[in-house]
Amino acid sequence: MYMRWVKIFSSIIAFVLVFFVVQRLLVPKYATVVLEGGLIREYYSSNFDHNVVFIGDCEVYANFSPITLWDEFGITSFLRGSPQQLIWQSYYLFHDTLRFETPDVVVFNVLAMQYNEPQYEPYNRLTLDGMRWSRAKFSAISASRLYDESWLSYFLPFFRYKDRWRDISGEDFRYFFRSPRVSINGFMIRSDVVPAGFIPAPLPRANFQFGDTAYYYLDRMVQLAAHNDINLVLVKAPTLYPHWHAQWDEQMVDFAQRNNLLYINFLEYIEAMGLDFDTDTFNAGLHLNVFGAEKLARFFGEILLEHFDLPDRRNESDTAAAWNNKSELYHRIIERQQAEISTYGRIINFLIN
Amino acid sequence: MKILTTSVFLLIAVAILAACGSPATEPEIVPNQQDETEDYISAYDAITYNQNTSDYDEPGSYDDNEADAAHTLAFGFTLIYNSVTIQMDQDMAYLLTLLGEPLGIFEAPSCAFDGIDRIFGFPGIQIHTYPDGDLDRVHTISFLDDSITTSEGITLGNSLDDVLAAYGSNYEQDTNMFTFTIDRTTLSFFIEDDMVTGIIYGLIMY
Repeated sequence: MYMRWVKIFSSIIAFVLVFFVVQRLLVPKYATVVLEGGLIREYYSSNFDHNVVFIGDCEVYANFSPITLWDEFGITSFLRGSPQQLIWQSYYLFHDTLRFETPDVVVFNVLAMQYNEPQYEPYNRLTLDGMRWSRAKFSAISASRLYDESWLSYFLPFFRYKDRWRDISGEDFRYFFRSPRVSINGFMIRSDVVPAGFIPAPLPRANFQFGDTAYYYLDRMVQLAAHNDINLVLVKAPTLYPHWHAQWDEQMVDFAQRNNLLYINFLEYIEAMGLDFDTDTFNAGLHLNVFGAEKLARFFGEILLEHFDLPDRRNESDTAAAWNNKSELYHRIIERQQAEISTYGRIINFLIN
Repeated sequence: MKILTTSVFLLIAVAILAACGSPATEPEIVPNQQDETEDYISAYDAITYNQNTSDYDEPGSYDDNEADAAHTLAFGFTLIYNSVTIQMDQDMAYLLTLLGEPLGIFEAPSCAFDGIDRIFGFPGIQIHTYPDGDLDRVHTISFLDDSITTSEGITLGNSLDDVLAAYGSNYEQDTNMFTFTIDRTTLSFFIEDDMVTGIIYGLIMY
């Protein structure tokens, strides 16, 4: 009888072990394609000591250089951006951040206000899979799920990625135990240049009014910031496409005024920042490259110092040592990318380590 | 060893059961299965396009399968532009052979995934395409000025009454947008102060 129970128990343990080994193998590692899928998880290996935390979509992780904010102003920052991060996901990432630290300033990029309902499951996964389990993650999944997305696939990603067995490659084994690093403090470095050329005219729209759900989460973001004595700043990154309509801008100006928030539409300062879309973008004006991101960070750093009492932390020896290492790595990666561009005409290795 | 083998079998069984039970989670674009390509094929004889090589072959030399793959169309609203009939879901490479060089091409890659939406600028219009395998297919045409008219003669600056006289009253209204639908195509007019300020041809994507 005893041996029978031992056998049953051993079988269960073995099944669970094999299940998790296979699941780990099947889950995408984001090392060579869709590297953006690795962004959200990287926050959890930071030291949770940031004066400024950015939240938002791709206009966050591609456009603001945290190293320039450090090098020039002694501001420590982290970008919690991910592709097509919807506003409720940003709100719950804000919540999630507060489990670890209370930054002085949270910066939200408002392009996501255009979406009032869940959009596309694969983008959901890029944001939600990287979050650590918490109440915030449960709520983020609830708010983001499309009609055919199952809860089970978030608990056990095996059920989402079971068909990936055909695509298993070397990287799935190489990064079985550790995840590849894709950013420096949430910033994806791109040193390549694809100049902006023809920019299409915006399509007419029936309605420019942001939706109720979008406003609901923006309101909650304001309340969360106020409750935790955090300065919330709304920004619109200076990218040429997708279009940021004047009617959208008016709504954000109005919202910021009503809630006594700082709102900066960086599109209005392209010249003042010295941004040149012949050299400062890696995909024809959709995102800035590292050189554009540095210009934006220089401009924004001045504004942050002007409006908020942020300390220059370059005098703190431990913080300075850690950030100077990051800065050195950052500049080394830029040099490596530029060498690859000279040799191969394009960046070969996008990873940080 | 026996336990491990059992576990592996169990896991395979779970995977098979899961595969049977769960719906596809990634939205797929369902190609139009209409067979009404005869009219198009006759136009297509003028210049045949080899989708694999991007070369243009002699008339009549194209492979039927290639033609079907490249030119399943969403019939409905069409725009006649410089004597060229532009239809939704049409292969842009083929259209370019008829329309000539665009003023500019804008490529909008998705934030993270493969596939590039392209926007082709021509005098008076912009044509938006979506990727479908190796092809770019038309999904939107927008008017930029009043030098272009719809096939029924409506252009920017006309009144709402002109639109209704041309297209009837079977439309859906969303604030200032009046949309007419035929098959998988839409034609939307944007009205401000009783004047057409925008016209868009669209493809309904499933």
